[in-house]
Amino acid sequence: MSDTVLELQNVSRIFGEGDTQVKALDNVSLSIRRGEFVLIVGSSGSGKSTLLNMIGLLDKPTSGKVILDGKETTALNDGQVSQYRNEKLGFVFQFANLLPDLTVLENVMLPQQIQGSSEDIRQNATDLLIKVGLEDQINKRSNKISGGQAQRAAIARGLVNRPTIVLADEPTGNLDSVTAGKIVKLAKTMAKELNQTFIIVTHDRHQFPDVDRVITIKDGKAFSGEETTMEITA
Amino acid sequence: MIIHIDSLRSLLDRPDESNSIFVKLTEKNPEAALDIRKQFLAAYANDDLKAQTIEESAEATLKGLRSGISMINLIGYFGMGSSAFAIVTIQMMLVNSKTREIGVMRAIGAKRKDILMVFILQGMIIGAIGAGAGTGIGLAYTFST
Ligand SMILES: Nc1ncnc2c1ncn2[C@@H]1O[C@H](COP(=O)(O)OP(=O)(O)OP(=O)(O)O)[C@@H](O)[C@H]1O
Ligand SMILES: [Mg+2]
Repeated sequence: MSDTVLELQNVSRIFGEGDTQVKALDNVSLSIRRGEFVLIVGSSGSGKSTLLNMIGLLDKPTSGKVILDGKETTALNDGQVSQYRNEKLGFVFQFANLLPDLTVLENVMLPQQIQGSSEDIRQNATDLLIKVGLEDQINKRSNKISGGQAQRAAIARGLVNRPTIVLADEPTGNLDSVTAGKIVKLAKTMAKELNQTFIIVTHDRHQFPDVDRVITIKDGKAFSGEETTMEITA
Repeated sequence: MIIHIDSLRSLLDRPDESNSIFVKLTEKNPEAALDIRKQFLAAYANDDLKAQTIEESAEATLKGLRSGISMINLIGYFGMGSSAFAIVTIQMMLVNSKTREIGVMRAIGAKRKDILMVFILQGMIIGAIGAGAGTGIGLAYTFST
């Protein structure tokens, strides 16, 4: 089995048409290996979220290919894409995005329930919630916990299906710096422990001091490494 | 006994009423009724009289009843239409207020179909509760008056 879990080939994404056309992604090619902890940085409006939506199969490229786990995904139908998202991808967003009507535990159980997993769903979710330090919050309604706790639960939910890649868009964007630091540390620990690939979008490079790779997006183009001019404006 | 219609009217104190005669036939034959009507109209050709068989006069009454029923039906259809419209509006508002949750469900791997089903089911439940409650209240009202 190949070590490459994700490959983007000449991916472009154009929004709108005519005069109002925006080229949010411009011919982006990159590949990510299993277990890599990758940071995507760039200024506001550079195309980071658009790139993450491509990788997460939440949006389709105008042109180019997205190859996830060796399979070209742009031709898949909604049912197949949904299954891919469920099995191969885990998502963590800026606002934890737990479903407020469910308990913390139920939120973490949800991906495996959608999958129709035959494993002990409750046990898996409980184990992960203990790992992220939420053993006291398991049966609380998820709108009754703090932002930092919610983000921990969201990470547990992102990991529960043992996805190929966990995607996070500004996972610390809504947290104070101390809590954010803890969340980053948790993600790193999980990545190492589970050999889990992470792709994280942030505009705050300093929150993630120790990562395997940094990709900088500028005007829809991807560059390897960090661009020093961005450091000054950040 | 034969009496003039005006005398009868004054006797019964009903000056302008009692203005029709009901003729009952011994044989049950609609053809005969039509025949008699024809003879009657021929006999009083110059008078301003109207002759109807029982079926025809019932038809007139029924017509009134039918238009009443169709009016009630119309109100019913209008009610049903506006409830359906209300449910659709409520569901649209719900969908709009749940875009974030829908996004999360999509990201976790729920299919478009599954999410649509949730909202359709919810709409159907609201509709069923409404119809049940409406029928109950309607029946209670009907039987209490
Ligand atoms: N659905 C859309 N329709 C039209 N234009 C869009 C859409 N989504 C993004 N864009 C445009 O594409 C460009 C890239 O947007 P994107 O959201 O990827 O930026 P970003 O790097 O995530 O920014 P931020 O750091 O502010 O989140 C922007 O110019 C944006 O206006
Ligand atoms: Mg963004």
